[in-house]
Amino acid sequence: MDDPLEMKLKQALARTDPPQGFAGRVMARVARGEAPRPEPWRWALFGRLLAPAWRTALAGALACLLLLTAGLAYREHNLRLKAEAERARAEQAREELILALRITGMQLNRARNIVLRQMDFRKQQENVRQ
Amino acid sequence: MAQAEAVALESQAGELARAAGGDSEAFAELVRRHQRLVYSIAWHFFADRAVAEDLSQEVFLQLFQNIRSIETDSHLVFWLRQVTSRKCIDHARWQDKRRHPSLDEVAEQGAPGTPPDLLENARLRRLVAGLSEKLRAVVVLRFQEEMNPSEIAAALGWPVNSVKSCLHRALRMLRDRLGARG
Repeated sequence: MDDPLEMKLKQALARTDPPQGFAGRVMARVARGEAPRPEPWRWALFGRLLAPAWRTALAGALACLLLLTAGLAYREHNLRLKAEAERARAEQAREELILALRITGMQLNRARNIVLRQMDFRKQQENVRQ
Repeated sequence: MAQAEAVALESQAGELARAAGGDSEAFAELVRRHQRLVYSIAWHFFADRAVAEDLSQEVFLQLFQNIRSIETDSHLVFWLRQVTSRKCIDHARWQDKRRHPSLDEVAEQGAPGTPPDLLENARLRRLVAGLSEKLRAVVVLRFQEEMNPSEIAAALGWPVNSVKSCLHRALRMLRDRLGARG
Protein backbone atom coordinates (compact mmCIF):
# COMPACT_ATOMS: atom_id res chain seq x y z
CA MET A 1 0.00 0.00 0.00
CA ASP A 2 2.34 2.75 -1.24
CA ASP A 3 -0.37 4.97 -2.67
CA PRO A 4 -0.78 8.15 -0.52
CA LEU A 5 -4.57 7.96 -0.60
CA GLU A 6 -4.50 4.32 0.50
CA MET A 7 -2.17 5.15 3.36
CA LYS A 8 -4.44 8.00 4.43
CA LEU A 9 -7.44 5.69 4.25
CA LYS A 10 -5.66 3.14 6.42
CA GLN A 11 -5.01 5.85 8.99
CA ALA A 12 -8.51 7.36 8.81
CA LEU A 13 -10.19 3.95 9.04
CA ALA A 14 -8.11 2.57 11.90
CA ARG A 15 -10.11 0.65 14.47
CA THR A 16 -11.61 2.72 17.22
CA ASP A 17 -13.11 1.99 20.63
CA PRO A 18 -16.86 1.84 21.06
CA PRO A 19 -18.49 4.10 23.64
CA GLN A 20 -17.70 3.19 27.24
CA GLY A 21 -19.72 0.36 28.70
CA PHE A 22 -20.44 -1.24 25.33
CA ALA A 23 -19.65 -4.79 26.44
CA GLY A 24 -21.80 -4.34 29.54
CA ARG A 25 -24.76 -3.23 27.45
CA VAL A 26 -24.35 -6.24 25.17
CA MET A 27 -24.21 -8.64 28.13
CA ALA A 28 -27.28 -7.00 29.67
CA ARG A 29 -29.22 -7.74 26.49
CA VAL A 30 -27.85 -11.28 26.43
CA ALA A 31 -28.92 -11.75 30.07
CA ARG A 32 -32.43 -10.54 29.20
CA GLY A 33 -32.56 -13.22 26.51
CA GLU A 34 -32.91 -10.71 23.70
CA ALA A 35 -32.63 -12.05 20.19
CA PRO A 36 -31.13 -10.13 17.27
CA ARG A 37 -33.48 -8.70 14.65
CA PRO A 38 -34.18 -11.31 11.95
CA GLU A 39 -31.94 -11.15 8.87
CA PRO A 40 -33.56 -10.21 5.58
CA TRP A 41 -34.65 -13.39 3.83
CA ARG A 42 -32.20 -12.91 1.01
CA TRP A 43 -29.10 -13.26 3.24
CA ALA A 44 -30.56 -16.37 4.84
CA LEU A 45 -31.30 -17.83 1.44
CA PHE A 46 -28.09 -16.67 -0.25
CA GLY A 47 -26.05 -17.64 2.75
CA ARG A 48 -27.41 -21.17 2.55
CA LEU A 49 -27.04 -21.29 -1.20
CA LEU A 50 -23.46 -20.05 -1.03
CA ALA A 51 -22.42 -22.42 1.76
CA PRO A 52 -19.99 -24.98 0.26
CA ALA A 53 -22.33 -27.96 0.66
CA TRP A 54 -25.19 -26.08 -0.90
CA ARG A 55 -23.00 -24.77 -3.72
CA THR A 56 -22.03 -28.32 -4.61
CA ALA A 57 -25.61 -29.52 -4.37
CA LEU A 58 -26.85 -26.60 -6.48
CA ALA A 59 -24.16 -27.16 -9.10
CA GLY A 60 -25.05 -30.85 -9.20
CA ALA A 61 -28.75 -30.11 -9.50
CA LEU A 62 -28.14 -27.65 -12.34
CA ALA A 63 -25.93 -30.17 -14.13
CA CYS A 64 -28.64 -32.84 -13.81
CA LEU A 65 -31.26 -30.43 -15.08
CA LEU A 66 -29.11 -29.56 -18.09
CA LEU A 67 -28.50 -33.23 -18.87
CA LEU A 68 -32.18 -34.02 -18.50
CA THR A 69 -33.17 -31.16 -20.78
CA ALA A 70 -30.59 -32.19 -23.37
CA GLY A 71 -31.73 -35.81 -23.16
CA LEU A 72 -35.39 -34.89 -23.58
CA ALA A 73 -34.59 -32.63 -26.54
CA TYR A 74 -32.60 -35.42 -28.21
CA ARG A 75 -35.41 -37.92 -27.63
CA GLU A 76 -37.97 -35.45 -29.00
CA HIS A 77 -35.83 -34.94 -32.10
CA ASN A 78 -35.51 -38.70 -32.66
CA LEU A 79 -39.24 -39.24 -32.25
CA ARG A 80 -39.92 -36.49 -34.76
CA LEU A 81 -37.54 -38.03 -37.28
CA LYS A 82 -39.20 -41.43 -36.80
CA ALA A 83 -42.67 -40.00 -37.26
CA GLU A 84 -41.60 -38.23 -40.44
CA ALA A 85 -40.11 -41.46 -41.83
CA GLU A 86 -43.34 -43.30 -40.99
CA ARG A 87 -45.39 -40.65 -42.74
CA ALA A 88 -43.18 -40.86 -45.83
CA ARG A 89 -43.52 -44.67 -45.92
CA ALA A 90 -47.27 -44.47 -45.49
CA GLU A 91 -47.53 -41.91 -48.30
CA GLN A 92 -45.51 -44.13 -50.60
CA ALA A 93 -47.66 -47.18 -49.80
CA ARG A 94 -50.79 -45.16 -50.50
CA GLU A 95 -49.52 -44.06 -53.89
CA GLU A 96 -48.52 -47.63 -54.77
CA LEU A 97 -51.97 -48.85 -53.80
CA ILE A 98 -53.67 -46.19 -55.89
CA LEU A 99 -51.48 -47.14 -58.86
CA ALA A 100 -52.23 -50.81 -58.36
CA LEU A 101 -55.94 -50.10 -58.18
CA ARG A 102 -55.73 -47.95 -61.28
CA ILE A 103 -53.91 -50.68 -63.18
CA THR A 104 -56.34 -53.28 -61.95
CA GLY A 105 -59.22 -51.05 -62.91
CA MET A 106 -57.80 -50.55 -66.40
CA GLN A 107 -57.29 -54.24 -66.82
CA LEU A 108 -60.79 -54.96 -65.64
CA ASN A 109 -62.18 -52.41 -68.07
CA ARG A 110 -60.22 -53.91 -70.93
CA ALA A 111 -61.45 -57.40 -70.07
CA ARG A 112 -65.02 -56.11 -69.79
CA ASN A 113 -64.78 -54.43 -73.17
CA ILE A 114 -63.47 -57.62 -74.77
CA VAL A 115 -66.35 -59.59 -73.27
CA LEU A 116 -68.90 -57.03 -74.41
CA ARG A 117 -67.49 -56.97 -77.92
CA GLN A 118 -67.66 -60.75 -78.11
CA MET A 119 -71.28 -60.73 -76.87
CA ASP A 120 -72.17 -58.13 -79.49
CA PHE A 121 -70.48 -60.19 -82.19
CA ARG A 122 -72.42 -63.36 -81.21
CA LYS A 123 -75.70 -61.46 -81.20
CA GLN A 124 -75.01 -60.09 -84.65
CA GLN A 125 -74.22 -63.61 -85.94
CA GLU A 126 -77.47 -65.01 -84.48
CA ASN A 127 -79.43 -62.22 -86.13
CA VAL A 128 -77.84 -63.00 -89.48
CA ARG A 129 -78.74 -66.74 -89.22
CA GLN A 130 -82.33 -65.88 -88.45
CA MET B 1 7.60 -14.24 21.88
CA ALA B 2 6.46 -17.24 19.86
CA GLN B 3 5.74 -19.10 23.08
CA ALA B 4 3.73 -16.17 24.40
CA GLU B 5 1.73 -16.11 21.17
CA ALA B 6 1.09 -19.85 21.43
CA VAL B 7 -0.12 -19.44 25.00
CA ALA B 8 -2.40 -16.56 23.97
CA LEU B 9 -3.86 -18.60 21.11
CA GLU B 10 -4.53 -21.51 23.41
CA SER B 11 -6.21 -19.20 25.88
CA GLN B 12 -8.42 -17.77 23.14
CA ALA B 13 -9.39 -21.24 21.98
CA GLY B 14 -10.28 -22.18 25.54
CA GLU B 15 -12.30 -19.00 25.94
CA LEU B 16 -14.24 -19.79 22.76
CA ALA B 17 -14.96 -23.29 23.94
CA ARG B 18 -16.14 -22.03 27.34
CA ALA B 19 -18.35 -19.40 25.71
CA ALA B 20 -19.85 -22.11 23.48
CA GLY B 21 -20.49 -24.12 26.61
CA GLY B 22 -22.59 -21.30 28.08
CA ASP B 23 -19.97 -19.49 30.18
CA SER B 24 -21.23 -15.88 30.11
CA GLU B 25 -17.98 -14.44 31.48
CA ALA B 26 -16.07 -16.13 28.63
CA PHE B 27 -18.57 -14.68 26.15
CA ALA B 28 -18.19 -11.22 27.73
CA GLU B 29 -14.43 -11.54 27.26
CA LEU B 30 -15.00 -12.37 23.58
CA VAL B 31 -17.13 -9.25 23.25
CA ARG B 32 -14.44 -7.11 24.89
CA ARG B 33 -11.75 -8.62 22.67
CA HIS B 34 -13.61 -8.07 19.38
CA GLN B 35 -15.73 -5.00 20.06
CA ARG B 36 -13.28 -2.64 18.35
CA LEU B 37 -13.40 -4.68 15.15
CA VAL B 38 -17.18 -4.81 15.01
CA TYR B 39 -17.88 -1.29 16.17
CA SER B 40 -15.27 0.24 13.84
CA ILE B 41 -16.75 -1.41 10.76
CA ALA B 42 -20.18 -0.03 11.61
CA TRP B 43 -18.82 3.37 12.64
CA HIS B 44 -16.80 3.82 9.44
CA PHE B 45 -19.81 2.67 7.46
CA PHE B 46 -22.24 5.20 8.85
CA ALA B 47 -20.22 7.86 10.74
CA ASP B 48 -23.07 7.66 13.25
CA ARG B 49 -22.27 6.38 16.75
CA ALA B 50 -25.85 5.50 17.63
CA VAL B 51 -26.34 3.41 14.49
CA ALA B 52 -22.88 1.87 14.88
CA GLU B 53 -23.57 0.82 18.47
CA ASP B 54 -27.00 -0.54 17.62
CA LEU B 55 -25.69 -2.66 14.76
CA SER B 56 -22.67 -3.80 16.78
CA GLN B 57 -24.89 -4.98 19.59
CA GLU B 58 -27.02 -6.87 17.06
CA VAL B 59 -23.90 -8.61 15.78
CA PHE B 60 -22.94 -9.82 19.24
CA LEU B 61 -26.49 -10.96 19.99
CA GLN B 62 -26.34 -12.99 16.79
CA LEU B 63 -22.94 -14.32 17.82
CA PHE B 64 -24.39 -15.47 21.14
CA GLN B 65 -27.04 -17.43 19.24
CA ASN B 66 -24.50 -19.01 16.89
CA ILE B 67 -21.46 -19.42 19.16
CA ARG B 68 -21.58 -23.21 18.99
CA SER B 69 -21.01 -23.14 15.23
CA ILE B 70 -17.77 -21.13 15.60
CA GLU B 71 -14.81 -23.48 15.49
CA THR B 72 -11.67 -21.36 15.91
CA ASP B 73 -10.68 -17.80 16.71
CA SER B 74 -9.87 -17.08 13.05
CA HIS B 75 -13.31 -18.44 12.13
CA LEU B 76 -14.77 -16.07 14.71
CA VAL B 77 -12.98 -13.07 13.19
CA PHE B 78 -14.17 -14.07 9.70
CA TRP B 79 -17.72 -14.51 11.00
CA LEU B 80 -17.74 -11.13 12.77
CA ARG B 81 -16.44 -9.29 9.69
CA GLN B 82 -18.98 -11.06 7.46
CA VAL B 83 -22.02 -10.54 9.67
CA THR B 84 -21.14 -6.94 10.55
CA SER B 85 -20.63 -6.03 6.87
CA ARG B 86 -23.93 -7.64 5.88
CA LYS B 87 -25.84 -5.87 8.62
CA CYS B 88 -24.29 -2.56 7.59
CA ILE B 89 -25.14 -3.12 3.92
CA ASP B 90 -28.73 -4.07 4.78
CA HIS B 91 -29.17 -1.15 7.11
CA ALA B 92 -27.75 1.25 4.49
CA ARG B 93 -30.18 -0.09 1.87
CA TRP B 94 -33.21 0.38 4.07
CA GLN B 95 -32.12 3.66 5.56
CA ASP B 96 -33.68 6.90 4.35
CA LYS B 97 -31.30 8.03 1.62
CA ARG B 98 -31.93 11.70 2.32
CA ARG B 99 -31.08 11.36 5.96
CA HIS B 100 -29.89 14.35 7.87
CA PRO B 101 -26.22 14.33 8.93
CA SER B 102 -25.75 12.94 12.41
CA LEU B 103 -24.38 15.05 15.24
CA ASP B 104 -21.24 12.95 15.04
CA GLU B 105 -20.67 14.07 11.47
CA VAL B 106 -21.18 17.70 12.41
CA ALA B 107 -18.88 17.35 15.44
CA GLU B 108 -16.26 15.69 13.29
CA GLN B 109 -15.96 18.80 11.20
CA GLY B 110 -13.76 19.97 14.02
CA ALA B 111 -13.52 22.85 16.42
CA PRO B 112 -11.08 25.66 15.62
CA GLY B 113 -7.53 24.56 16.36
CA THR B 114 -8.09 20.90 15.51
CA PRO B 115 -4.87 19.43 14.04
CA PRO B 116 -4.97 19.11 10.23
CA ASP B 117 -4.37 15.33 10.36
CA LEU B 118 -7.48 14.78 12.42
CA LEU B 119 -9.47 17.04 10.13
CA GLU B 120 -8.26 15.13 7.08
CA ASN B 121 -9.12 11.81 8.71
CA ALA B 122 -12.58 13.07 9.55
CA ARG B 123 -13.03 14.33 6.00
CA LEU B 124 -11.98 10.98 4.54
CA ARG B 125 -14.35 9.13 6.86
CA ARG B 126 -17.21 11.37 5.74
CA LEU B 127 -16.36 10.74 2.10
CA VAL B 128 -16.26 6.99 2.70
CA ALA B 129 -19.62 7.15 4.50
CA GLY B 130 -20.99 8.93 1.41
CA LEU B 131 -20.14 6.06 -0.95
CA SER B 132 -22.74 3.49 -2.00
CA GLU B 133 -23.08 0.62 0.44
CA LYS B 134 -21.19 -1.87 -1.74
CA LEU B 135 -18.23 0.44 -2.22
CA ARG B 136 -18.24 1.36 1.46
CA ALA B 137 -18.12 -2.28 2.52
CA VAL B 138 -15.14 -2.99 0.28
CA VAL B 139 -13.23 0.12 1.37
CA VAL B 140 -13.79 -0.49 5.08
CA LEU B 141 -12.79 -4.15 4.90
CA ARG B 142 -9.75 -3.33 2.76
CA PHE B 143 -8.35 -0.44 4.76
CA GLN B 144 -9.61 -1.03 8.29
CA GLU B 145 -9.26 -4.81 8.36
CA GLU B 146 -6.44 -4.97 5.76
CA MET B 147 -8.20 -7.79 3.94
CA ASN B 148 -7.19 -8.59 0.37
CA PRO B 149 -9.82 -8.79 -2.41
CA SER B 150 -10.11 -12.61 -2.16
CA GLU B 151 -10.78 -12.43 1.57
CA ILE B 152 -13.31 -9.64 1.05
CA ALA B 153 -15.02 -11.67 -1.68
CA ALA B 154 -15.24 -14.68 0.65
CA ALA B 155 -16.66 -12.58 3.48
CA LEU B 156 -19.29 -10.87 1.36
CA GLY B 157 -20.07 -13.78 -0.94
CA TRP B 158 -19.21 -11.77 -4.06
CA PRO B 159 -17.01 -12.65 -7.05
CA VAL B 160 -13.40 -11.48 -6.65
CA ASN B 161 -13.59 -9.39 -9.80
CA SER B 162 -16.61 -7.51 -8.43
CA VAL B 163 -14.64 -6.70 -5.29
CA LYS B 164 -11.67 -5.45 -7.33
CA SER B 165 -13.96 -3.38 -9.52
CA CYS B 166 -15.68 -1.84 -6.47
CA LEU B 167 -12.33 -1.02 -4.90
CA HIS B 168 -11.06 0.60 -8.06
CA ARG B 169 -14.22 2.66 -8.45
CA ALA B 170 -14.25 3.70 -4.80
CA LEU B 171 -10.65 4.90 -4.88
CA ARG B 172 -11.30 6.82 -8.10
CA MET B 173 -14.38 8.49 -6.59
CA LEU B 174 -12.55 9.36 -3.38
CA ARG B 175 -9.66 10.85 -5.35
CA ASP B 176 -12.09 12.90 -7.45
CA ARG B 177 -13.95 14.17 -4.40
CA LEU B 178 -10.75 14.98 -2.52
CA GLY B 179 -9.43 16.77 -5.58
CA ALA B 180 -12.68 18.68 -6.13
CA ARG B 181 -12.76 19.95 -2.58
CA GLY B 182 -9.05 20.90 -2.79
